[in-house]
Amino acid sequence: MSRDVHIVDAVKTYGDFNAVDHVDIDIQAGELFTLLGPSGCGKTTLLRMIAGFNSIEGGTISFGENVINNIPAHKRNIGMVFQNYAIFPHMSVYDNVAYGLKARKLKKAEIEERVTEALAMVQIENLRDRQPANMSGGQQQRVALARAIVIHPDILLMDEPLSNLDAKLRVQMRTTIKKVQKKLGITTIYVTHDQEEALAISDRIAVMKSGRIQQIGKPKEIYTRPSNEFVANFIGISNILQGEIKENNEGNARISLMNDVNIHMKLKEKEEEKPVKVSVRPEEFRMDDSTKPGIHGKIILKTFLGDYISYEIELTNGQSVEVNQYLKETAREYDAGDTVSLNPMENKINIYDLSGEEALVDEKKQYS
Amino acid sequence: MKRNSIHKGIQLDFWKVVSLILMIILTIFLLYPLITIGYKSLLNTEGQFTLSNYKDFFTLKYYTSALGHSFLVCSIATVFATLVSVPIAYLSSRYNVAWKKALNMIIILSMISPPFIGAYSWILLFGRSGVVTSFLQKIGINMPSIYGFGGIILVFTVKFFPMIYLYVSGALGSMDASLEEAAENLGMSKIRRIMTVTFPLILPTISAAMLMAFMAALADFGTPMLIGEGYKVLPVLIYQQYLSETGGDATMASTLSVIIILCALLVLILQKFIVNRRNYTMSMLRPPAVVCLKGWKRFLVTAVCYLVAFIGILPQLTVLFTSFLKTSGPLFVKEFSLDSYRSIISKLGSSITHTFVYSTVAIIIMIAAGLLIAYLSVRKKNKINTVLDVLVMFPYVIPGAVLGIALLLTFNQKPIYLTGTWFILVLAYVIRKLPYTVRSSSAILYQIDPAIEEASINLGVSPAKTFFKTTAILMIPGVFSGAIMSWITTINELSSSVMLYTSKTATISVSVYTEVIRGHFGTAAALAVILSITSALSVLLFTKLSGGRSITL
Repeated sequence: MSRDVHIVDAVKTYGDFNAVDHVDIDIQAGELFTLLGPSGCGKTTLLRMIAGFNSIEGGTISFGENVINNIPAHKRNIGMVFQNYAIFPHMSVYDNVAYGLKARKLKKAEIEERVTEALAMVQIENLRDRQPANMSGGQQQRVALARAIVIHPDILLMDEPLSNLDAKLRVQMRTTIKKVQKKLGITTIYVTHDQEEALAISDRIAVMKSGRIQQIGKPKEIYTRPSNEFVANFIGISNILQGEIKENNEGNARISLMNDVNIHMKLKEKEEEKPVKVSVRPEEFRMDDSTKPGIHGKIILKTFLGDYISYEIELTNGQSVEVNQYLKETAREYDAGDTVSLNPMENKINIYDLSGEEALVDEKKQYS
Repeated sequence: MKRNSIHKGIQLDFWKVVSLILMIILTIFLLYPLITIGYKSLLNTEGQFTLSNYKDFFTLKYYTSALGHSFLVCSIATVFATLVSVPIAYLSSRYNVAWKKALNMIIILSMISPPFIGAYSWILLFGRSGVVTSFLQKIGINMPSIYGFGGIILVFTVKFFPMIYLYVSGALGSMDASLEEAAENLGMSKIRRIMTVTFPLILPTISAAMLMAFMAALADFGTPMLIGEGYKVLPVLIYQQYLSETGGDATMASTLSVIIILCALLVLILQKFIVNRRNYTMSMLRPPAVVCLKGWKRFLVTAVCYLVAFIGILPQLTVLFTSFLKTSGPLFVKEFSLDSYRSIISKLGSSITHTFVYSTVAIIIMIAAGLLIAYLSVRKKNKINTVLDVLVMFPYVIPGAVLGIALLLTFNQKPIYLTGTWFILVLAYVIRKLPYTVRSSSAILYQIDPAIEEASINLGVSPAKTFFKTTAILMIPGVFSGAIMSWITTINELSSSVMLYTSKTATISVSVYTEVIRGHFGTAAALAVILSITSALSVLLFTKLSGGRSITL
């Protein structure tokens, strides 16, 4: 049975360092929820607190109504997939998957039935009697997944499950995981440092840094409206340019970008005239010949990447920006050495205060 | 903020209890005897507190010269053994020496020879009435005396070079080939490559091996006792002092014991200090290539290796040969017979039973304790378990005779009266030989992913059960490769047994010793052969079972 998870004011301390620093998260039943962040951000620590391998030093974690703080790890009924799989090397695939069922003292026939079902779900029925030693990473990963879901856990935890696989297999396993998760409707908490993987697999994402939640939202929200400069840089690429709010008339603002170009955006009404940071993703620039108005720059490097071309452009003030041009919408292709003019897409870009901590765009009105 | 105590408590309970129990056992049977011996060394014969024992030690030439002798012979012998073994190890691991497995087997076998068999065999060959000596005398050559200073060094060198050989060839075999290739690629000549890359990289191993050899030599009682004659070293002095003080409080023997432990500790700390500053971690990608020599070059390299190995195994061959000779009193007659074997079965059969029963009990305890202690010190690092680990390793520096005296002085009265029982022998064996099992068990534990256990706990199995269902099973190969070493050294153990045995608990090695003293060389040889064969079979069986895995020193 799938459960909702509530993390309230959770704290984990090592010495005088808060690895998890007053975290609040509500996860709905059946959701695939990702903890995303750079290494050392506390995401794995938090996951291990949920699993019961790290003690919870403050706050509560509950499954449904039940606070699990004091339940020992082996009684929490959580399935977990480990980063390096942690397949029992001295047991066959079957025994690995049956392990948790034997611990639950199920009847032999039922164990047999459930193991078979789980193996089928991850498409490794044929590996049933194999020893783990001579299995590939992808196969071991499937065994680990089968072993975790066969016990019908309340919650499924996944700790960087794809990080040891090669790029192609990673995409393949990602799809398998998502399908199995949706089919079983099992609440899943997924930890990764790979933003692309997080965007692809998650229903919702919590971005973490230094033990704190930076933003919680659906993948698209996090990508299009990062709540601060850190998230804007961590998820995808953002060019941060200097700007200044010149007027703000009940939310209709005029911003001067690099003292060169005026852009018009819907900002929060309270924002007054002040310097700001303008965050523009590579695909949020329109690129034209240098005769057109806009911020000007010279192409330093041109990289062909299949469906798009990436340009590194040095602006007149010396700053480098990255600009992507998608092949199908390309009016004209440029070459290294060309000078071009750039204009940000006003409905897409983001504005932050100078500290980078606060987003100034009025989300309700802005994005189209 | 609420501390999550219940959860923590349940998860750690099992291991806390284990750690506590082990700590209590070690305190009673190791720490307490050591404290006792330290305490006794500070008493005079009337039982009053005094430093006069130490004052005597450092002012009387009788004692200081023994200390000097010990350091001198051990240092020289260690250096000689290194000079012999390192080149041989290099040759055998980097060149296609013929029958390499056999060579290694011979060297392993010569390492596990029963104690002081070396000294005894060399006396048989080169002693006053030795076979070689008399032969050479007939053709007019007079051999220099093998007794005393030179003899001890000869026997120590031959006895301890196999140990250094095994360490060093292990290190040479696991060095990443690309390091030497990089040096070659940068234009280094072969000899300079060895001096600038290969040798510095195995230096930590060499120094660790030298330390082990030095410690073993420092603690060796049998060899200097037999071949040293007037040249006294510390362990012999301790033994004689203790025997002369029986009935008394053995205060001077205690003092000597404390001093030898301090010396060993000093050397250990010095070595750690040197090695810790030059420890390299290497990622082994490709094992070094073996150079294929042809024709006479290969023959020469093979011959050199086998010559050295032959000298190493010579004592055991001598013993094997003489065990089949007919004896008349202490003399061997030139005629073969099985009399010696018949006589040990009728007269000394019980010592064979004792050796195997005591060693079996001891090894079972060692495997159980080794498994748990290794786990605690690797996976449950905390202050108590660190102390536990250090305590367990401490007997590395305690000579057997010293441990024997410590146990005797401690457990010769109520509440724990053990003197003269078989249990005190088993106790000494466990304390002395446990480090092998613990080291090897810890080593394999570092290779087992901790997440394996978490996976099991996560699937609903309690932490204690999880250990026995997962980690303990995965540790077995490592535990056994250490336990085999513990087992072999236990059945061969003399120096503590000789302090602790009574006529009812004599073991094979004690009987070998007493038979030699009584001049019954034939039966002594036959008993020693039984030990050698058992050791050899144990090693063979282990290599077979473990699929070619080598024993861990």
